[in-house]
Amino acid sequence: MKNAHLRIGSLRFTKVLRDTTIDITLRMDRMIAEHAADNRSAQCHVLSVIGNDQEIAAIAAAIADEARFYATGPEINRLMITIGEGAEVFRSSINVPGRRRPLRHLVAISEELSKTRAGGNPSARRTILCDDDRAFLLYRISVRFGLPVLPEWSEWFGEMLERKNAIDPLIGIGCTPVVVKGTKKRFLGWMGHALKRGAITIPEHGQPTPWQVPISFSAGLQKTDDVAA
Amino acid sequence: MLSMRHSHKQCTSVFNTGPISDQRRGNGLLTTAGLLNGIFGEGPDLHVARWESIKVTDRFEETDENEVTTIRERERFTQSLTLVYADGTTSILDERSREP
Repeated sequence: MKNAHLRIGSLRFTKVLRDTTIDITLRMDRMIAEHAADNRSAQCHVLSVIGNDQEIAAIAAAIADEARFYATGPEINRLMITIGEGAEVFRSSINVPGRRRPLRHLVAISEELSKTRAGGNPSARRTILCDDDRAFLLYRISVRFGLPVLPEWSEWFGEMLERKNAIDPLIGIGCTPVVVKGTKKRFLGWMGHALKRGAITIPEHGQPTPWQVPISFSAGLQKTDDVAA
Repeated sequence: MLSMRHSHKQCTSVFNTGPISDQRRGNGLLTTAGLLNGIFGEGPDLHVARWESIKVTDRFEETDENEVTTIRERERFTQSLTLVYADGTTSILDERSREP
């Protein structure tokens, strides 16, 4: 694991009011963002920051106001981000030994990412994922669209995404996010063709192997774990 | 001595051998829990099945004698089954694809 200053970024929020200026900088351990069309700002999809009561309350209010933030990180040089309308915000406390007050943790998720759960927006054309592991890609896409897939097809699916230019990397802190472009019908069509050509097969009398996908926001820290098929 | 609780008494279980995928109330739990996902069949019928729960909206339009149209929308959940056969055939079965 890298030292904290090499893997954790920061989030800055500045707002000038009539008689005062709010200027908050928080530690940010995870972020997923995507360059906007103008290439000067970015649409943020995940934000995970740690701070005290007042700082987290201010950030939560700013997200509700669709405010702009400045993100910096290990490989990100001051990027203007906004999380947009309909963001979902989750807050919790972290008790740290030796501290009188707990730290506050805030996670914000964009509206688009919040719909990547099973059955959410089934006609979607893109899916944002927090990891580029091939088994994880196929597993999450199958859960979202209800696709009948087997773990053995992960490598084939990853190659197809690259061959068809259906996968693009996103800006990430603490993770390696990607956006996968395609609908349920498109992916189902790929599977049908591949089965016809024999690129993938269904085992006749065998049980499918269990999924080996990262179960946390690990970013390569603890790579794989079994997930029930 | 306390009498044995009813739930702990030995009893003979009787299993119904009817088709489990028959669409009845309650089957949705079995299907969307993932218990009917996986590889089924053999030979030309070999396939992978995946059930999912989808939300559908029923839309009703009523026009009364004053020609006022009332539109009502009701959301409900239903099940959908996606199949991929070994020969490359794919199909999506849900209540919209049911034959009349």
